[in-house]
This record gives sequence, structure tokens and C-alpha cells, in this order.
Amino acid sequence: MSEKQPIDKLFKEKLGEFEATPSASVWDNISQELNQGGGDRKAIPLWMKIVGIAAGIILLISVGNALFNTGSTTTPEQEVVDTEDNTSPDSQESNDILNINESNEPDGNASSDDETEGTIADSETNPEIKEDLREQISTQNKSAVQNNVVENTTGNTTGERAVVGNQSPIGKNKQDKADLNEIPLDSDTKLADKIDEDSKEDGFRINENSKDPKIVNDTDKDPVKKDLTGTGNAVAQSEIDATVKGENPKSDQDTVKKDLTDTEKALTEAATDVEETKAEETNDNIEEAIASQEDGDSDEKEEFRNRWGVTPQVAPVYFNSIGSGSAIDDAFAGNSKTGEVNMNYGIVASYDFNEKLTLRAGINQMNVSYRTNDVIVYNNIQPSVDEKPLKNVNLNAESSDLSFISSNGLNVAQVPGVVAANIQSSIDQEIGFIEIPLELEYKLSDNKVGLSLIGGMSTLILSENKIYSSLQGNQTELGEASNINSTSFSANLGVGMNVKLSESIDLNLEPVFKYQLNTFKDTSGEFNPYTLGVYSGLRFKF
Amino acid sequence: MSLEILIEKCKKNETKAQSELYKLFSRRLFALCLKYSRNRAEAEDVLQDSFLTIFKKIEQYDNRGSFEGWIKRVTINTALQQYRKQGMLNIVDEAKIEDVTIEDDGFDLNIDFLLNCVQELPDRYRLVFNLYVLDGYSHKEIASMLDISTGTTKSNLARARMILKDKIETYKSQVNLQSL
Repeated sequence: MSEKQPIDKLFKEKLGEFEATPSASVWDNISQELNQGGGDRKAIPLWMKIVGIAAGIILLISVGNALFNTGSTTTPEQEVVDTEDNTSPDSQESNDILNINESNEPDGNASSDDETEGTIADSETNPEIKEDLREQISTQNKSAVQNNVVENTTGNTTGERAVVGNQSPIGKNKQDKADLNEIPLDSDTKLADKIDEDSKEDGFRINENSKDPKIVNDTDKDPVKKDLTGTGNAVAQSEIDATVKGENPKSDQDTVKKDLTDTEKALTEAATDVEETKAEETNDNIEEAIASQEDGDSDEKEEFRNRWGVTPQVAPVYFNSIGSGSAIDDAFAGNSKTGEVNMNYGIVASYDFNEKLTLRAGINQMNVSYRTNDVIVYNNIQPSVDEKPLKNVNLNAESSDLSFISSNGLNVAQVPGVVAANIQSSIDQEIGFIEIPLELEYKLSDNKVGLSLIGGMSTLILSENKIYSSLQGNQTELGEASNINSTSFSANLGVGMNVKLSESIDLNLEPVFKYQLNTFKDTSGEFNPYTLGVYSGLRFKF
Repeated sequence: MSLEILIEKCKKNETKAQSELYKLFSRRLFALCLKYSRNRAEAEDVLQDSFLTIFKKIEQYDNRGSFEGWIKRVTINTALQQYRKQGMLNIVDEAKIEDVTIEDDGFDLNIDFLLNCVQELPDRYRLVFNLYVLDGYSHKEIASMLDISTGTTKSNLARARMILKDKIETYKSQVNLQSL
């Protein structure tokens, strides 16, 4: 039917495919609405996701570590020693023994009503044993059982420590997360406001310009008109249109020219042109507005301008090893080890090759510490001269007469008759490095929260090397490890997140895993140290 | 960047992609809005609401059929929604259905004038005329879209044509008068 109607044809031809440029404020309003509705929704899950991943990695390693350690420490056969046929090594019963022995009841072992005690009594006591002897054995038992208890308690402490190790990095992450959540929201709003203001200003300025009669001059008129109307007919026709409009008051109503119309004929003609110029200008204007919007939203353009960056950073770093070996002595290969969290500080300089790729180098003070549990330390009356008490430790003068054994697989027979000194719970190793990282950062996304992959290596220069023994919180320095290379390397892999705080400041958060390649020369068993740190800092770009 | 990728990115709420998409289609959609609206300000409101709906519902676009067709439908629906909210003007008018002819005298009418004519039509005439003539909907479709009978859409269309013809005739005679 429409084919038959010439008037339909006319309108379809003219109005079917034409285009018109809306004012810039339309997009401003749209983007504002989108930001209000969508921006926040997006930022939070992304944070949760990333921090979740980081927390997950830490959790996984810590839990794995804890499980592994528990597996290697508790072997029931070792709990009650010196009792060949003891079949019920229940720890509670052992504690009972301890209690009885400790109360120094001379008949502790003899009162063999209890099953366990009976067994012990059977195996240990023969009729010839006198009271003294019995006491002697009692002492022996006591020390053995005490060792045992020490082991148990340290075992427990280890468990607790492992849990603490788990929790503290996560706790930190949570806090970081909370902080960061607050910051980006804030900055986003500011950013949005700023953009808004900018575009409003632009819009206003350009509208004013287009009203400026100077723009409507003959030289402007023709090309603009030709470009925009796209109809072959040009000036003459439009002038006629305009003329008619000028005389026809009806056409002034509600038209797009409303803001410009004067009833004067000449001005109406101008109005047509102004409108078209305006259309052209608003076109430019909207493109500018969009461009400025893009500037505001995308980090890449910004960073491209600011190629250099400096990031002072701080990181809680967790140190531990893959594998069950010991860096200290063969004897402790099977002991439980606990990684500790230390704070590291440093500064990183970065250079953007392009929008995606950033090279960075820096210097960090990297301190790590590591605890070997279940170690018994005692004063040796006749120190062995020929052999070092700990294979990889140079003991200092005060500690040179100490001996160390692992309470794992401890046999009472090995404990010297006079155990003069303490039964230590752990050996703590503290190592400091000057770390020089050289890394590449590849940007995966650059939304409000930028996401990137980080890979590279670090050169580690040994700066601190200490070994302590630690009992009930008291640390005594023993000496230093002899098997740490003065220069070593690590392979680094991490995820980086950054939040734009302002034009030139980013907030970074980077969980990075660093696998150390040749830190230790001669380790017992498999000992592959790594660190896991969550590096956070402010990147100043210029 | 191809349109498919752009759409995918818009589905992920990427601000940059949304701005690209706006840049790509706003001019065409704004023309559509102008035809369905009384004036420029109203058209801008419709355009704004349309794009918000497009970005919100872009996930529902399944890459089948033309994307432009889809966003046009969203825009037209948004425009109609405005009038549904306002309550359609009830025009009770039984016009004769007749062919409206205008002489093809080589008279070239410019877009602004024609757009003005359309915008000045009473709301329902304008919507029916746009839907039927410019966007190719059938009377049956229009009737269900505007919740009126097909008889009404047909008579509305005829009235719209009459009004438009009158406007053009008046305009031409004025121009001729001037040029004499």
C-alpha cells in the first residue's frame, strides 16, 4: 500500500536513512547512569575474585605445608621409647606416666595396676633392681617421656603456628581489600564528577559558539550545508525554505530551531545555517566528549603519556620451602618446618614500552625467616672437635659447646647421660637479602581496576644471615649458616592489580610468588625455598 | 574492531566499548527518535533511555538477526513507552481512507521541513505514520503495539497523510508565491 502513496515514498526517501547528532549531554547522562548502576557492581566482584585467588594460593600452600609437616612429625612408635613391646602408646597414658614419674613416687613404676605401666614394669624391672637403680631408670624414663611430651607439645604448637601462618596473610589481605574497596569507590566518583564537569563545560562552550553569529558567514555556510543535507540541492533551495519559514509562524513551533529563531527573515535563514553548523559542531563536540571520556576511563592512554613510574612498596612476605629437606643439618630433614611472615620494603621503577607492556626494576630489602621445629639443644660436656654439631652452621663462640638433635626418631639411648641444658623447641633461621627484581608486567585489562600478569627474576644478595635457637620466646644467637650463596636468583610470577587514584597515582596490589633457584649450596634432602608476598604500593607516574 | 567484538565487550559492561557503540549508532538512532518525538528535547530523552535499555539488555541480543534492527526496535519501543506512560491522545476521527497524492513537480523538500511536518503531527498519527511508512510495520503489528484496532491505525494513517499533504501543499504554494 505504501508503494502506491507518493507521499509515503517522499517521506521514506527523505527520512528513511537520515542521521542526526544528539547533543553531548545525552552521552554524559548515559555514562553517568551506567557508572552509577554498573561501575560499582563490577569493581567489587573483581576485587573479591583477585584477593580470593591470592588468599587461596596462600591458604593452599599453608594448608599443604601444615598437612605435610603433621605427616612427617608424628610417628606413634616414637612416642614411648625404650619399651620394646609396648603396644599401647596412647599419648594420654604417656602423660600419666610422666605425671607419676614427675611426682617422684619411688614406686611409680612398681605400682603396676595400670596396663601400660605393667608393660613397662615387665620389660624394665627385674627382681634384682634396687631402689637406687629404679630411681635411675625412673629418671631415664622421665627424660624420655619428657622428650616425648616436648615433642607432643611442639607438635601442637606447630599446628597452631601453621594456622597462624594461614591466617595472618589472609587477614592482611582482607584488610587490604577493605581499604582498597574504599579507595577506588571514592576515586571513581571523583573521576566521574570531574568528567561530568568537563563535558558540561565543553557542551556549554560549544553551544555558545554555535549561537555566535560570527560562525554563520558565507564561507562556512555552503560546505556545511552540502555535507550535511546530502541532498543535491543546496543553497538556493534552503534559502527558499528558510524564507518560507520566516513567513510561516507555524513552522517555528517546537522545531529544533526554537532556541535560535528570530522572526526576521534574514535571521531565519541564518538559523538554518546555524542549526547545521551546530549539528556539525555538536558532532565534533560529542566526539571530543567521548574522547575525553575515554581518557578518563582508560589507564592505557594515561600511562602511555606517563611512561615512567616509581613505586615505593611494602609487602608481607611468607617464606617456606617445597620439599621436606633441611638447610641446616641432615638430622632435621624430617622435622617440621614453619615458614614465617616478614615485612619487606622496597622501591620499584617502571617504564611502559607500550600500553600493555611495562618493564620494571627495583630494590627491596627482603627479610625471611624460617623455623625448624622439634630440635633438642643441650650442652655437650665433651664437645666433638672434629665434627660440626650442625653441618651447615658456623656456631659462634658461646654456642660452640652445644649439641643439637632432632626429637624425631629420638632414642633415649642417644641422649647423653647428663642432659645439662635446655630442651629447645626450635632453630630459627633469619636471612636478609638485597633483592633486585627485574620484571615484565603485561596488562590484561585496564578497567577501573587494572589487572596484569607479572613475570621476571630477582637477584638476591645476601645481607643478613643468622641462626637462633628459640625456647619459649627467648632467642639465643647460635651463629650463621654456612651454606647460603652470597648471590642467588629467584624466578618470579605474580598477578598485579592497580586502582587509579588520580591522573598520576595508582594503587598497586601484587601477590607474587618467587621461587628461589640457588640460595642454598648444600641442603639435606629436598629444600626448595620460595617466598610468597603481597606487594602493595603507590605508583607515581610521570 | 568488529561489531561482534564490540557487542561482546558491551556485554561485559566495558565502558570504552559502550562509548564506541554509542558513537557508532547514536546518529542513526537519534534520527529515529526525532521522527517519533514532538521535538528535539523529547528525542534526546528517548535516545538516552533507549541506550540505557540497550546496554542493560544487550546480553539478550543473541547475535541472530541484524544488531541494528534490534537496537532500532528497542528505540521504537522506548519511544512508544513514553506515550504509553503519558497516555495516548484519544483522537476520535473517522476520516475517509483515500489515496493522498502530491504532484511530483521536481520540488525538492528538505529534511528539516519534512521532519518538522512529522513532528507536528498529533502523537498517535505520528507514531502510526512512522511505524507504517518509515519502519515497515503492518497495521496488525501497529494495532497491537499501540493497543488500538487495525481500523483505527488505518484511519490514523490516512489522517496523517492528509495533514502532511496539506502542509506540503501550503508550503509549496508559499514558495511559489515567493518565487513569482
